[in-house]
Order: sequence, then structure tokens, then C-alpha cells
Amino acid sequence: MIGGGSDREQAIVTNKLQPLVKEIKDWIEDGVSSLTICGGYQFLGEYYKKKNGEKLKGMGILPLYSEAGKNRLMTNLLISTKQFGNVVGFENHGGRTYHNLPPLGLVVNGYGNNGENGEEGLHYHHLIGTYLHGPILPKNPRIADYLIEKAYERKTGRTLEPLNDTFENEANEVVWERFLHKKRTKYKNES
Amino acid sequence: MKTQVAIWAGKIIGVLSRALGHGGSTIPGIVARKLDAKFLRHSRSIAKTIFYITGTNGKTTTANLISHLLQTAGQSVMTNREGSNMVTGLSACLVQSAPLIGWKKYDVAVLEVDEASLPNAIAECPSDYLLITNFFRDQLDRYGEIDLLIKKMKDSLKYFAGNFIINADDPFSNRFSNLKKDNIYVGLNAHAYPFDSYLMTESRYCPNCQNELSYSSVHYGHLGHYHCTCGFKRPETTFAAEKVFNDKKGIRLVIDDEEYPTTFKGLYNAYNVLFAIQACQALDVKPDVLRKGLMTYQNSKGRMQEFLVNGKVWRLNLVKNPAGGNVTLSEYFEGDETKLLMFCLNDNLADGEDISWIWDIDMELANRDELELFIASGTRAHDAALRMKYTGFPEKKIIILPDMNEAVLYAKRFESPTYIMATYTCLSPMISILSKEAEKENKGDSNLETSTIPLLSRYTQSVWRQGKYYLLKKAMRMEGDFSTSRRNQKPK
Repeated sequence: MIGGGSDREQAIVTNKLQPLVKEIKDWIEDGVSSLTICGGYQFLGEYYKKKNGEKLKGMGILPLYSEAGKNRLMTNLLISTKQFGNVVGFENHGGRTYHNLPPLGLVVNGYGNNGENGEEGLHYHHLIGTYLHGPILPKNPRIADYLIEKAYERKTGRTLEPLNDTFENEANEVVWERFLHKKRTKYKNES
Repeated sequence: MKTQVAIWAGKIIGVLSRALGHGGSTIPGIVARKLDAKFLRHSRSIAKTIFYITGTNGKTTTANLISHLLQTAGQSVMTNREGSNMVTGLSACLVQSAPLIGWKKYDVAVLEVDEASLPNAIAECPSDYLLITNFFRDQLDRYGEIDLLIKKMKDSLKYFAGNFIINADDPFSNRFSNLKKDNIYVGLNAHAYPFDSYLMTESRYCPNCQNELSYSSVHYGHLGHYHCTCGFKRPETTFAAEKVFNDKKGIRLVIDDEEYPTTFKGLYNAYNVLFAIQACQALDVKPDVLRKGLMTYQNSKGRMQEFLVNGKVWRLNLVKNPAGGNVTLSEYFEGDETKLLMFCLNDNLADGEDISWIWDIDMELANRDELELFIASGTRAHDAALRMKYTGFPEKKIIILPDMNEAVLYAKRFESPTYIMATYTCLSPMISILSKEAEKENKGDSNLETSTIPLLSRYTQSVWRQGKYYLLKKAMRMEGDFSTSRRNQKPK
């Protein structure tokens, strides 16, 4: 799991992780469960282009890149996914991320990857990259279950019994209902 | 003349806005600034000395305490109320403090300034003293990252000619040190009090060389005695508390061999007291006067405020970030009496729309046997409940009541007192709900005991007056098996 942080902290991490890049890449191809959020998601990619044009090097694990935008994309983010149902959380990022890999879901409220194509996140093998925090796992137990399940299966070859998720699902529904009908800024290419 | 018109316009709009039932604490400021752009610069001509207080936590308490201490010393003080700490709010405060013609002169202006508004405030009217209390992770959605915020603040202070009073124990505040020489540093001596250790939620990395900081003594969060291999370290304090004691009446500080007993509950207030004493000493207020002021100070609303409900002392504290949540919980769970905990969580703009910060509160502190019930309330009650579930606290002892009236009604049925944490916009509704309850107590209208009919009459009366019939229905339903009714309750 890789979370986000301030640019300063992010730079510390990138330097420390540089020697491990090859290994991490192999893990992901091999189906290790991974979750990367916000800054962690951006740094999987090739680079992050700052406002002044300077390119911060990423880990280069997946073919994606990010660019700093004019303002921060900041709101309650609702996305609909085939595999995990309705996914809710909060996004707060200055960077816009672009890739041609399968997205995690389609934006229902909020901005997502770049606020342009209506896609949010990335789902590749068992890796999930996303701008959702809020935090993502407790309010979206199906994603949490998925990551744990795949990790357990890979290790032991067995499956797991599901837990009681009443609280989690209730919290998810409430957020979904609350922000579903809020006004949303339209994407650039939307009529 | 322009200024005078601006003041009049501000005053008129202020009166109108209040007459129309809006709070409108900043509206006079907005209007005055439309007519006289750099309105704030006038503070210079009406106050001999100006204090700005900024930082994540403790602004309001420190500002109020300084004002009170200076007033005790016989000085005239102009101060802004909480919530009006942005440039418009500060301007509104000026408008309101002005008489109909001209300016009223004050000895001192004590103004709390929002961190993000500091650059504008400094540009319009530089203060004589700038107090930097601390930096904790706050509402990221409003301020962005801490590093960026501090950089913007520092940029605006390049030509600042006043004096800094800096929290030596906070590595973030210490980043302001290199702007000027001869800063005033306040802090707590090593092991001034054995603080509980909290989960570290802040970055503990050196701002210069990015290596991890080492601590020889941790007070709370990232506050303490830190140093780094590169030479970045806690500065030598110029004014320090040698010891902090937690007496029954409040905390007591020992500074330069002088004792300062206070009425403050909560050890984290030691920093606020320390800052206030230092600020007043800069204006030559004598220790005896300070002691008198400290003992007569009344805490501001919603800061560890106490209410008598059902013959028990309920407590209410504002919580707006993880650091505040941690100190509140450690205060609430200091004793092992049985209690209920209520968390009122809203996600309005003033609370911060992003509520993920609640996951950085060390809620695990509350997972104790003596906690009878956890009540989650507010627009994001479900998130608060979920956070509590993840401490391992039994699910059946967690209840979700988004309506705060309902939550209080429900909590009242228990023998034990309820301790409440409330975010910003929950605070004033909660204060008025609890004040009404406490009032009922005085009139002798409470505690008619358990049978259904007296309970009913109690609810009808208060509900009738407010015209809220639906509350009555809900209160009745609570009499039944609540856990099922909660499941049926559709969120609004």
C-alpha cells in the first residue's frame, strides 16, 4: 500500500524506493494485492509535471503520467464500478492523471483522474490506483475484501468467509445518497 | 471621508443583517472593504500595540486569555470573536469597534488570524507581535498541505518588523525562526509533565534534510524536544514552564519560580497559558495581576464547557482536527467513571467537507469498558460510527442518531453523564440544546423517572413549544427496542 503525502515527503519516499522498482513491478505482474492512493497512485507512473514545467520522476512502474492543473480537484467523489458496486470517498488533488489502462470506475459525482474523461482510478491485475480517500477501505468493504481475498488466495490457495459489513454498507449508502444529487461541474468534453 | 462612509455602510448593513436574522459576523467587513479596499490598515491608528495570533490549535483560547489578562491589568482591548478570523472578519471587528464618528482608541488589539489569511492581514497591517502557536494537520481541503501553507506564510513575513513569539516545541513553527533574530521562544521543559503518548499523526521529518527527527522528550503529537543530525533542533527557550501540574481546579504552571494556578482543564492548555503570560509580560503586566486574571478567566463557549443535565455534569468540547480530538479524548478518559461518548460530526464548509481526518484521531483511547455507549450524530454520523467500530468497540454499543436533538434525548435516558465532541457547525446548536436541558434542570422539571407517562409529558412539553412533532414520535420509538428501529431508520 502506498499513500499520498506532501511533495516534500513524496520526494523522500521516491528516492528510498528507487532501488526496489524492478521488484515491485514483478510483484504487481504476479498479482500481489496493492492499493495506491493519490500521490502514491501518481508516482506509479512515469512522471509528474509541475506547474513550472519541471518533471518530477516517478517510479515508472505503469504507463501513466500526471500533470499539475490550474486548481485543486476537491470534492466528494462517487464512482460506479462493475465489480465493487457504488464506491464513495473524497478526492483532493492538484494533479491530473492520464492512462489507457482499465479504470476503477466511472465518475458519478466529482472529477476523477483528470476531470475530463469521466474515469476514475486504475485497476490492473490486483492493483488499485485511485484518488479516493475518505478513507477508501472502511466505507467500501467490497474493495477491502477483494484485496484481502486475493492476497490470501495467492498465499494459501484458500478462500475466506465474509464478515458482517452492515455499518460499512450503511455509511456507504448515506454518502452516496447525500452527494448523488449535488451539482457537479461538467467535464470539458461534456455537452 | 471614504473610511468614515465605509464604517457607516458596514454598520448599517450589520444592523440590517442581524435584523433579518442572519448571523452576519463578517458582512460589515465585506461591505467596508468594498468601499475602502485596505480597510484593515486602520488598526494601526486605533491600537498602540497589535498582537496577531495564528496557528492550527489554541488561537481562540490564547486570544481570549490575553484580552482578559490585559483587561484585568486595566488596559483597553479590542479583540475579534471566534469565526471572524479571516480578513473580512477582522475588518468587521474594526467596523464594530468604531463609534459613530471617528475612531475609538485602544491600548491593545488582540486578533486571532486564520493561517491562510495571515499573508493578507500582514500586508495590510503588520502587527507588533506575531504569536505562532503550532501546526497540525488541519482541514486539508481548505488549507492544502502544511508545507505549502507554511511557505506562503513565510513569504509574506519576509519584511516583517515586529516580534515573533514562537512555540519552540513545534518543529513546524520553528521553521519561522530563520526569518529574524532575537525571537521569543516559549515551550515546556523536558518532562514538565508525564503526558500520555499519542499516536503520531504528523510528519516527524526534518524540514531541512528530510531525515527523521529524534526526540529526547515528547509532550504530545510532534511537540517536544527534537533534534536532527543536520543541526536543526528545538531552539533554546526564552520563556519556559518548568513544571505543569494537573490540580483539581485546573492546571498550574511553574514559570521562573512563579506559580500560576489557572481554571483551565486539559494539559494542552498549558501552551495557551504560556503564550498568554509571555504576551502580557511583553507589556509589563505583573505576575500578581496575571494570577488574578488567570483565576477569574471564564473559558469560551464549547471549550470543555460543562452542563448540568439529569443531575450529572455533561461536557462539551470543540474538535476540529486529529490533535484536538486526541487531547479531548485523553481529558474525557482521565477518570474511569462510567460515561457515554457522543461525536457530532458535520461536513459543512466550516467543518471541512473532507471528514477523513477522524481516522487520524486516536479513537482507540475511547475503547474502554467504562464507556457504556457511543452515540454518533451530525450529518456524517455514519462515518463517526464506522470509525468507532474500527477501534474494536462492540457494535451493539454504537448508536447512530444524525439529529442532535434526538441524540441528546436518547443520551439523557442513561444514568451516566455524556461527554460530547462536536465539530464547528455542531457546536452552537449543541450548546443551545444543552443550555435548554440545563435550564429545565433549574426549573425542577427533570428526572420524573422511568414510567412512560411522565417521560411522555416531558417530551410533549418541550416538543410542543418547539413545534417539532416528529421528535415526539421518534422519542416514543426510542422507548422500544432501539437497535431495530435504528436499522429501519432511513437516512435523510
